[in-house]
Amino acid sequence: MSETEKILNDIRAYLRISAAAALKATAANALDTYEKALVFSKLDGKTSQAKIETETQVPQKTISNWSVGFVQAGLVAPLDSFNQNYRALFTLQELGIELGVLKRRTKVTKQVTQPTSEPASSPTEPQQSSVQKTLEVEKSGTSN
Amino acid sequence: MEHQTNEQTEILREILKWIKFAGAKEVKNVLVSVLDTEQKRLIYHLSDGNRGSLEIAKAAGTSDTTVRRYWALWIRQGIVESLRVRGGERYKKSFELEDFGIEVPLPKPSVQPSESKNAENLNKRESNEH
Repeated sequence: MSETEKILNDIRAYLRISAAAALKATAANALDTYEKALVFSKLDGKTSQAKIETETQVPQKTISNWSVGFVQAGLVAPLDSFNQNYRALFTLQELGIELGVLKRRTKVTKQVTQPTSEPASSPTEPQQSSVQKTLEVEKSGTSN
Repeated sequence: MEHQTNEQTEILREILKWIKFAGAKEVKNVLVSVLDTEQKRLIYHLSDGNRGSLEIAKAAGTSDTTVRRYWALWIRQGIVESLRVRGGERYKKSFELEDFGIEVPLPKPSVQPSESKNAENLNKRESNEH
C-alpha cells in the first residue's frame, strides 16, 4: 500500500465515524421500522430493487420511495455513473441501529378477491401479496 | 512528476491531520463503546494485519472463533479494515488505541512479539514494568 493510499484510508476511516455520529439522530428517524432498516441494509449499489423486493417482501415502489428519502437524509448515495443502484453509505451498526429492536411496520391492506399462489407467510414475516402491494396504506407509526 | 506526487501526499497528510483533530472525539466514543472489555481491547490492539486469528486468540486467552466474530462485528462498526491474504482474510485495526488515551492490556505471557510497531510498544511497556 502506497503512502497516499494509507493516508486516504485513514481519512476515510475518520470521516466515516464522524459522519455516522453526526447522522445518528437522522438515521433513527429515517430507519424507524424493521422493514426500512432491512431494506437499507440491502442497498449495496449492486442489488436491484426487484431482488430486494424478493428478499424483504417490501414492494419495489415502496423501496424506491424509501430510497429517495434515504438519499435526502444523507444516508444513501444517489444514483450516478458510479452507482447504478442505491448504495448505503453506512452500515446499520455504524448508525447505532439494531434491527432486532425495531418495531415492524403495520399496514392496512384492502383484500381483493384475486387469488394468489404465494404460500402463507409466518406470523412474524411481513404479509405481502401482489394485490396487497398496490393497495397497501401505511399507517402512521406508534408513539414516537 | 515525482515532485507533484510528493506535494499531493503532503496535502493529504495535512488534510488527515485536521480530520483526525476534528474526529478524535467521535472515534474515541466509538472505540470506548465497542471495545468495552480488556479482552476486546487486546484483540483489537493485536489486529495489525500481520497476526492471524489463532495467534491473537492465544495471546488473548480465547478461541479464534471469538476473534473472528469480533472482527466481523468491528468491520461493520468501521473500526477495522479487511486485508486479503493467501488462504483467507485478516483484519487490521483502523485506529491506534494509544492515540486516544485508551490503555492497551498486556497479552498473555506466551505471545511472541511481532515485528510491527505495536509489538515494539508492547515490548517497551513490558520492559518498563520489569
